[in-house]
Amino acid sequence: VILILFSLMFKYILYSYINHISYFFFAFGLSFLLLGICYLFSTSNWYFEKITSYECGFDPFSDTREPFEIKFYIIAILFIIFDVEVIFFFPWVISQNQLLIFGYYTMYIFYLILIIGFFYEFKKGSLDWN
Amino acid sequence: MFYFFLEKLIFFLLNIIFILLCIALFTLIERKVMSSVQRRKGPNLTGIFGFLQPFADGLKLLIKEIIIPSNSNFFIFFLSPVITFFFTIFIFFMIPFYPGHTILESNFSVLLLLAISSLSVHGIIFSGWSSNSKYAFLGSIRSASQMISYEICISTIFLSIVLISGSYSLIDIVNQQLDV
Repeated sequence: VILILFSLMFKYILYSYINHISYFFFAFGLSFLLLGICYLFSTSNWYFEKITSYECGFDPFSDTREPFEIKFYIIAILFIIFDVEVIFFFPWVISQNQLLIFGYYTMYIFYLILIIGFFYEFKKGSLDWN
Repeated sequence: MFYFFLEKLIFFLLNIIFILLCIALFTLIERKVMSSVQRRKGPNLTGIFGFLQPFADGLKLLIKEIIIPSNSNFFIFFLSPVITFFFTIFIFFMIPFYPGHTILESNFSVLLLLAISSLSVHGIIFSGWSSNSKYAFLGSIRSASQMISYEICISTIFLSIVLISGSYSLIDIVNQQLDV
């Protein structure tokens, strides 16, 4: 029974998103097609100097797969957290005319928490580059 | 089922041709405006006013040699331009050009647009990391951090538009501006 229910649900999802899925594959096919055309028409003439990775004229000293500054990572994480918080606003915004006073001001509390978090990050110094 | 997909495919191909033409002419307009700002002529030799310049550039890019660096990750390196182009093209599907001529009619196209535009960072990250070159890697990190930081601004702008129109559908948002 569970299996039948699951298959029905899957079929329903598949049929309601058939447009998205088909265009997904069409777009993917198109982007592969352009690369394939390039592969067909281009001439290949490579030698050792050409296929080494570019390093200002000399042979590369070392691999690039070594640790880099964690600051980039921290900045990216900060922005992603704020991105997620912006996404929380979307359902609130769309249901403005159905919200009562409680639902309306709940988001203000969320906003307050967000601002407190931002100032915490600011005081901790995770936004400083040095 | 077969005719459904055939109809979809023909509609898709017709639309995609004009979308690609649109992209080509947009690049030409950008180059023309930049050149006139800097008191140059810009591309003007191929065709009238350089109308054939983007197509000439595209044809030139088609016969360019594919070089895959020896110490790169072949699969990701090969796939990253495909991913970038795929996401860029997919965003174009949701834009309503004319009534009944939207390729992908969705009730949540704003959310879909935001999600896909944030996914398009991955193409740049993949291409920078998989090429195993320091310059490409640093460039990809800078570009990705820029794209991530613009993400919040653009989603906040979308938020205000959704607040005014009360709908996630781009078609509804356009229809709301009929009386303006």
